[in-house]
Amino acid sequence: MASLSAQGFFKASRAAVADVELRRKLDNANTRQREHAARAIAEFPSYQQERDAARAVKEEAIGRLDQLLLELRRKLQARGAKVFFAADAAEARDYIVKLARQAGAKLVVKGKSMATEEIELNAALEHAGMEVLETDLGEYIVQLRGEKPSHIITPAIHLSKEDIGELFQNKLQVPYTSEPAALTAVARERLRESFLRAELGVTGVNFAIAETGSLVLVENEGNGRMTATMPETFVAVMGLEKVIPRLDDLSHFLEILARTATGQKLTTYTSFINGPRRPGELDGPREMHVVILDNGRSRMLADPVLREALYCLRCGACLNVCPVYDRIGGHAYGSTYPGPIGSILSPELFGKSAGHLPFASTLCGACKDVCPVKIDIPRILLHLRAKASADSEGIRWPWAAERARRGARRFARLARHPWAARALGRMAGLLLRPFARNGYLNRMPPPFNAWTKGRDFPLPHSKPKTTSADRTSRT
Amino acid sequence: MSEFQKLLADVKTALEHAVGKRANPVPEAAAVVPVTHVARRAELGSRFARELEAVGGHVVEAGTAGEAIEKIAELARRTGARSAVSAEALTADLARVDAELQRQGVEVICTGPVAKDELATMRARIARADMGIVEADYAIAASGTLATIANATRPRSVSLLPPISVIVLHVDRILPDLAALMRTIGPEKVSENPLVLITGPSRTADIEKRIVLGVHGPKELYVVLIWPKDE
Repeated sequence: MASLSAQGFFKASRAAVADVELRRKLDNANTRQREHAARAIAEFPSYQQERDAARAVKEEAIGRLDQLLLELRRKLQARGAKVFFAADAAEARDYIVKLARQAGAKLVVKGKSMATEEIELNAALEHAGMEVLETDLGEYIVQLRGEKPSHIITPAIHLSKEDIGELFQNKLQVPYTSEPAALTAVARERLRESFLRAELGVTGVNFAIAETGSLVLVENEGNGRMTATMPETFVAVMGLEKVIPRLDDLSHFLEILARTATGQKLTTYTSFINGPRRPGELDGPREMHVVILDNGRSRMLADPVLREALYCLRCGACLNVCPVYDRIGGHAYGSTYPGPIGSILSPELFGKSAGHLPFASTLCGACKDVCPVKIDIPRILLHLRAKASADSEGIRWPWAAERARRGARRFARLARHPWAARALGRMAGLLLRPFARNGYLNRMPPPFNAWTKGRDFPLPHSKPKTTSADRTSRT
Repeated sequence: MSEFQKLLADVKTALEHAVGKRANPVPEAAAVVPVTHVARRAELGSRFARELEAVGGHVVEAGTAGEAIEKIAELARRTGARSAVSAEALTADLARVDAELQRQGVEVICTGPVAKDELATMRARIARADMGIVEADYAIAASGTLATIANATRPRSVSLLPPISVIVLHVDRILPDLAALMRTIGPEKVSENPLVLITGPSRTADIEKRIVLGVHGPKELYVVLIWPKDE
């Protein structure tokens, strides 16, 4: 879901930048995250090779997605799972709500899944009168707060342990503690009984192997295993890009995913699920459904530049290194998918309402460097910006480009005469001095304040008293 | 059915539109750890133990299958487990473990075939057990990972629900890396039975990135490593 307009985004991000507490929490978590990942990668000599191999598999898989989806469906059906293709969020929601009703569900437990956030499944199930419980600790915390996750893999990254202690005290009526271990124990106790009671379990999918008809679930807490094992009916929701051809391909992804996402070699649990429980088996669901979600993805597939974004593993690494995410946090984006990759996915999955997000980037390229499957995020963002400009009705100043070109030519001529350039610069510096502070232009009168409201510019021919780093930490 | 045809049509059209390369050959899997396939069990065994300890698991060594049973009984005493549930094993004789535990006064839950209407009761009993005992099919040295393949006599919840997890492993079942594990298990087995890879006790870092063990899965993980040393 995308909930904010461009104006809303500006407002939310300005508020987030001013929120010193939030900045401290994000900085704290992001720094730790980056250090963990860097160490895990440094200790693994084959990282680059695995990265290239993983990307090659994705190129192949996305290139013959139609065959692979067919094979996956055939294999899953042969083992007794039901497969449903949902063209959009509404179809996916309706299917799962109907299923939940048939299963007589009063309580639905959920493993962590961005796809179900994308289709806003919780609201639909609650509207149908069911109780929905997020069981991943981070998701459970944000659900108790009535919020959305602010990070793809660390949903409660915007909260401190004290925030969570107060939350548990207020919502769960337990004595206040800010000790992570004690807080975790509270959640374990509350959720344990729910797993056994719930009639329906819903999780996402990390990989689907066409060759074996297996869904692969990657997690640390064990709530994904619980959700897929205990309730009598189980639904897995996956984007159609999650399928890979062979079992042998999987190790390339698993070797890089946890390292970039959390700095682990492998996550604690990697489950391979290939159907409902068979006769004689003691656990596993009686009924299993797989919802394969398009919701804009085939449109992305049709665009040769955008297509690469379907390689995304949702590891969250690009969020952890993004200077914009680092300042404004996940919520300001107003979308299920925040950060650099989110700025690509959101306009495609949620439409025009998120059309401003490709502009919410400095194009510094840190995301591209860190991406385990080397998605060229800046290139795609530029592509989307170009698309957005071409789509907007009429260009307001058709002569602007020609003027800019002429201006650049004049500047080039001037620059060939250093003494003239210096003299002009000095003059400009004098004229602009009233609008400068500490050597930076930052309070120009309208209409130039459109620039200086959010940015500043060194005053020509003056020695700034602050360094760029000082100014960054000032905001 | 029709909705799926629509999907395929959409995807096909989309593919025709895009000017992308098709089917790049996938490079050969690289050796992930500097351990060769003929590496001796000593290398694999000690690497496995080191990696498992690094993720918060514990290794208990046993020279023989018989000794493994004693070690499990000792673990039950040490952890104060009052009830235990075990799944059918591969190389170790877990029936003897059950007998030994019972002798010690530990309530043992048997997971043999149960009637359909008793499934829920059985699962609830497993959920209440203090200790779950399974044998791993394989393990990965490079990451300290255990692989267990589930079936009718080896339910998935035994390694999931009880807070203390005991996993028996024969040292010869340890493979160097993930790629080797995938090759060894093979697509046929994976499409037939549920498989889970376990790397350490259940954990989370959702609160300020601080690691806490034992969220929904086991808090303690002991691997009883059968490692004959006299050959």
